[in-house]
Amino acid sequence: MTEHVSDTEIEDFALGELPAARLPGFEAHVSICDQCAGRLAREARLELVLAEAAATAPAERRARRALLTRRTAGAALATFALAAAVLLLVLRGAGEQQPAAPAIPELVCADGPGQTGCVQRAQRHGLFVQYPDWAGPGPFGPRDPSAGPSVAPFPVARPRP
Amino acid sequence: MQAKDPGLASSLAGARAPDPSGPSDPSGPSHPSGPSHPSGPGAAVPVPVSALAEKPEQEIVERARAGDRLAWDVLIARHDHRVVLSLLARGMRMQRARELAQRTWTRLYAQQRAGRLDRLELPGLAIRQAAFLALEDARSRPPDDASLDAAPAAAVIDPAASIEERLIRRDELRRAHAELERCPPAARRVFTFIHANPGMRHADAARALGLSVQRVRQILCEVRARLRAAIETEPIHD
Repeated sequence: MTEHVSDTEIEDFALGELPAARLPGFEAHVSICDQCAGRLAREARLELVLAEAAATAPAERRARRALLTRRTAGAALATFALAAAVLLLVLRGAGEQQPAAPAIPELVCADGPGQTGCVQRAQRHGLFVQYPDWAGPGPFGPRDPSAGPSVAPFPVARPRP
Repeated sequence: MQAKDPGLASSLAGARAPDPSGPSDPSGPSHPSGPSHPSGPGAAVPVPVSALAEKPEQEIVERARAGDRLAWDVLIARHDHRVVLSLLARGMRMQRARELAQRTWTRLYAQQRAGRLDRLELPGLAIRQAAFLALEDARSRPPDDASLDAAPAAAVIDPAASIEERLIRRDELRRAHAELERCPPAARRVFTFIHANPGMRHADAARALGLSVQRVRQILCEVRARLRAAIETEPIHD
């Protein structure tokens, strides 16, 4: 394919809906065309943001909470406890207004000389940080195996050894 | 670009053979894909039809963590596209993005085999692992490597830029949420359903939602246009 790919094709690709027959030509073109590769990168980025928005939308969270409530409401003995838990959840949500932990942690701080600064700056901005797992020591030394899963969201207050 | 290992080569050629570059278990997961992953080189190769794919994600994840190869296949078919998108979004070229996505799944599977996979949250874990592999990849290249893939991959390793990126993205998310709330409930339902079921074809989604495929696509197109406008046109307040 020598012609630039269309916006529709790029959007279809991002959505996973590009017909298989058009795929080889599409991929061959974006592999050699800077302009189309750039457009594809923008569309890919948008799609990731939209996916995250869909997964973390307030209405979606409410719906999931409602579903959870419906499923557990059958347990008669737990009714009172459930009501208390839901009330607590609602009050907590209203009071704290904390953003939910993102489905995709927001930042990978690569190991290397810039990692400590990366983590510190991320902490200042309240971003969640994921160390590249299985990559050796993080900025605060080797990971403590007893500290639990390393996929836990940062910040974690861990003193420098 | 040539694949450097046989597993990668077979995957890029569209074969669905186990990846020998992965763990010692010869029955490792095969890389995508098929009907649920139309964008892979193996798009024409059908994914094994299994009732497993109909089960809740959490159950499939648990099976994968227990070493069920078929469960891995289902998860890869479901989430690989988003992993590839995450690399493309970084400016990586298509071929390289696909190679790294495959290495990502191989690495995750190897971790599972080694009993080191505490949790398996997808696609988040795979996206992070892919970002890390992109970093490794960029570092392993000589500084004067001027190939097409080298420069975009190098951008992945700039943590300072990533922080700003994340702040911008958080702002974009906020605006997307606000615009999504303004969309009609029916449109919102279609949009969230599509994104809550990665890998599901629009035709299948339409059946599940009781709508025509054309209607689903039309709604999706409208919602995306609104969100795109909200994200791209509003000034960023930081």
